[in-house]
Amino acid sequence: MTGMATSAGRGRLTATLLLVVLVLSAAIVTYPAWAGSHTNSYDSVDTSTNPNEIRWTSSTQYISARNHAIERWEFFRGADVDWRPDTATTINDLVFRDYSASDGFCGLYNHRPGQDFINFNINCLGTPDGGSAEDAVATQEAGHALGLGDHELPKWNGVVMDSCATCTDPRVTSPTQHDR
Amino acid sequence: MWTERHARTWFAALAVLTTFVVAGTGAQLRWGLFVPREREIAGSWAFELDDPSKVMGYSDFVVAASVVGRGDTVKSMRTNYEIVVERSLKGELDGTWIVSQLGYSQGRDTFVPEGQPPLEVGESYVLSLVVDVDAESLNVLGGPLAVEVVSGQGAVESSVLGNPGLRSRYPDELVATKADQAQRRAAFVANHAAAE
Repeated sequence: MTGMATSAGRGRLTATLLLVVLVLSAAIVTYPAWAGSHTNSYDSVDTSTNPNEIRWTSSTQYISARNHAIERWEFFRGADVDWRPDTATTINDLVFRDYSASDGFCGLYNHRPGQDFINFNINCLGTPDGGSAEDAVATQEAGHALGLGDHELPKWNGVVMDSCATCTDPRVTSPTQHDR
Repeated sequence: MWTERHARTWFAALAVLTTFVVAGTGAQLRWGLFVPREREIAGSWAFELDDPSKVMGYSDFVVAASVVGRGDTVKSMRTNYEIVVERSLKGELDGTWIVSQLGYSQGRDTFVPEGQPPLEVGESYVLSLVVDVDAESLNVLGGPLAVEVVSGQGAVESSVLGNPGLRSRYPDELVATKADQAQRRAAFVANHAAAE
């Protein structure tokens, strides 16, 4: 009788420990959902397969602007997030590509399941010339890929995440302290 | 009689059940596996899309219209809608037209343009429209002012772009656009006349 009671007691202890472990596991798995570390609730940094890096591919003709944006954000954020070209053995997070539409945008960031897209609008940016408009748009869209949101109020003119990256004179083509 | 075997079976069942509940709750919180998700498409504006005079100036057509149908997803992350124009506020457009708005659905994800509500069948709007580069289709302009829900008498006049004073002003920055605009509208109308 005593042995049976001891065994039941051990069983209860085991079940309690099991519950604690499971709850802690769930907390660890769901951590990013309730911690909220970015302005937006999304970004292109794939934390599940390539921690702290964005693997990218590109079919855009705005190569100079793409490189400018990557270089500026890497310099600004340091070791925070690495931007690296995708390889055969890695999982792609982000695609730079072009589209053409008369829609009032120079660039769009589309966060999707799997890989995200940074879209440069040929209709707005025209033939690639390495100019500041391309750099401003690329840097802003890359900021979205890092989880930063748009800043629409006039007081934010002068930060790279201003909704109209091409509207200021001179254009803002690099992150500022506020974009950290 | 409560035996050790009963206790083992009961705790095993409890462990399995708890695992499912915790894993399910965790997956739902982390990935939202079972609910439709809305995701924003963030954009870099080509000009101040929050300035009514610039939005009115840049648009080829501004109309009060009802949405009567929704089509399939089309190219460049856009969805087609069928509208019936009730009044033209800028440019001459009447009857039924297909317009395309940034945003689309894919699986349980709906991608919506930042700061702009997706059009809904049965609703009436003041819409800012731009003839697309192919001079054949009409795009809803992006930004917070280009789609405004209207309902009831006087709603169009009291809407941001329905303000009659706005139509007589044309922003200096868009003078070059104005010259192109007449050509674009003419090409668009000619294309559709030919198609009919």
